[in-house]
Amino acid sequence: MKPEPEIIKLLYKWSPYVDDYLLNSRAFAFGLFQYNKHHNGQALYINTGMKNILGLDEGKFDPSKFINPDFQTLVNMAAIKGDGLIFDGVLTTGTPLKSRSVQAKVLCRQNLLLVLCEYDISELDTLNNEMVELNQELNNVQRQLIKEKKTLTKTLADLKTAQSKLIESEKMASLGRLVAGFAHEINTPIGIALTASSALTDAQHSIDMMLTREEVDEEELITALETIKECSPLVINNLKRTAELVGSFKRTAIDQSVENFRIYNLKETIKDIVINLNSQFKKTSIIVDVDCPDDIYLYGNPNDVGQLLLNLMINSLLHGFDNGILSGTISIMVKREKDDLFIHYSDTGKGMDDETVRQIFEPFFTTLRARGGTGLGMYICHNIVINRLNGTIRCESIKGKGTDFFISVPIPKESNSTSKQF
Amino acid sequence: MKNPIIDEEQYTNYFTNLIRGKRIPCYNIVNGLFSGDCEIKTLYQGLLQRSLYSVGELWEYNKITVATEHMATLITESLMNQMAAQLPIGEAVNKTVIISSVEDEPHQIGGKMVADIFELHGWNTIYLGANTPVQELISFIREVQPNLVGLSMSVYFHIDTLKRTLQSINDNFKDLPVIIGGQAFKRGGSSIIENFKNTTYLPTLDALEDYIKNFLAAGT
Repeated sequence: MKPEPEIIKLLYKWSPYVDDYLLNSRAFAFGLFQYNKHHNGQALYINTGMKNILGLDEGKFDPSKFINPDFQTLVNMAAIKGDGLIFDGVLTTGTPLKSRSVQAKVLCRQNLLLVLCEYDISELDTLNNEMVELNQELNNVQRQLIKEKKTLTKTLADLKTAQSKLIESEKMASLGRLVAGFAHEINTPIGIALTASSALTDAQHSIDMMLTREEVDEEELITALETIKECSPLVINNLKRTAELVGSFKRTAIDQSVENFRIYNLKETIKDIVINLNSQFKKTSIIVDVDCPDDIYLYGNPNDVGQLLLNLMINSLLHGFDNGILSGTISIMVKREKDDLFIHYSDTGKGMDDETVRQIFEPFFTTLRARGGTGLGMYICHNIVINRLNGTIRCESIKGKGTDFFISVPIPKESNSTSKQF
Repeated sequence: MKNPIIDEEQYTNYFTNLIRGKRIPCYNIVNGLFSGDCEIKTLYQGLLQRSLYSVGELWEYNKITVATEHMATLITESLMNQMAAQLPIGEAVNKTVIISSVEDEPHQIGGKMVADIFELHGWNTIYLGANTPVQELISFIREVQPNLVGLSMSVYFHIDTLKRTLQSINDNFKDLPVIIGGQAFKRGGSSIIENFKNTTYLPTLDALEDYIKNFLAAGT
């Protein structure tokens, strides 16, 4: 839009202010340059904006600051086109490493070049707004991620709580299996003792009857005494057996239900577990072979080793020997070497493939989900060895041949000082 | 002094660093207060909101450039994101709120603060950010069916857009309550709510907290 002549007159009145503004402007750059026939140039006047785009600061004008078109090209253009507008486009100035591009017009008059340049502020403004929008978007995405992470952290914590509850209930379930096994096991000797004591009562009753008569039938007396002779040891032996079972169960059950740190004999603890599982193994053709030195005393909770072996043996029974249908051997070999204890647990069951071995210690991994397996038994074994006994556990298996567990645990220092006293 | 925990010296220190673009000292001040006894609401209102309102005024009076204003805003947003990771999620109350800035409104921090307060109170909070077109907002409300909608406006000349938005919400969702707030109402203008049913103007985060408590107590 071209201003009306009267407006131009009005503008002239303001010219000192406009001149001052233009001379100090940074967005609008202009300069007047003189050149000679050798294409050398000198700046007659340059404003702040021009100093800025040429990168001069306090330095002297150097024609090489015009990069594209360069100063020589502008002079050539002036020679060809003569006075008037010789260039209208993007002018690049500065140095190749620090250049600026601006919209420019170059006018020629005799040996003078007037260079007028401006920054396209509107483009900068658009870019700035786009950058702000992108930054906000980035901020919002970051915020969303933080929110999701918080939710996930909470979910993970809930899952961990649920998992530890499940592990607890699995521990209680294994205690339940022990109780069921114990009840079954104790039933037999109690039954025998009961039958024998009934026979004793009958014999005693028969003798009482004889004493009320005048004559005693010798044969009858001998029969009653024979019964007493036969039944008394039966009662005593079976009640003894019951007492042994109760003792063994008490040790295991109490160890399982409370945190009970003490010095214990490892072989006895292993024997207790084997006895307690007898009811589940005696109807099978599985031989349990324990080879453990008598003099290994450990400080800790016997339940740790108890739970470990209990879970390994139940696992062998259910998986390795198809719930007792297959026959074979479970072997528990214990060896002490300096301050470490090595337990080699193995079965000659049907073994596992590599994929199953790889996942065996993962929580909730089971191949028997359909039959009610929780997939926590081996996870508990792993937890006991790693977290409670500070040791390592490794599983090897060959399909069709059997499974080996190699367990190594450091012997607690407290065990040595008090060994054998208990 | 409204926020006794944030003293004047701390505020001045924070504000000076903010307009100089020094994010780390700002973070240290915020983190120090946050890990102390300072409530998030107090921190938002007494430090972040107060400093940004001052930045806005300086920009209005041409004392700082728009670039400085953007920088201060982005620093504040990044501080809020860092704090967000530590904000506890309140016990779920089974309520949903949509928070957004009005159409064409580029400022979003106020809305974010409001969203955080709702989250602290256990609301499922959907935050749409700056400049949500009215039609998109309406479709989103239809899809999510929230219990409440919050609209933030920082610049007064978007008042007509706000009216249009409130009208549209009223027309489409007769009984849906709406809350409005933001820097735009600092010098008045909140009386527009008189023309709209179920709309409440909340001048401060304190007022917002009271509103949330009453909302739940009323079993709305």
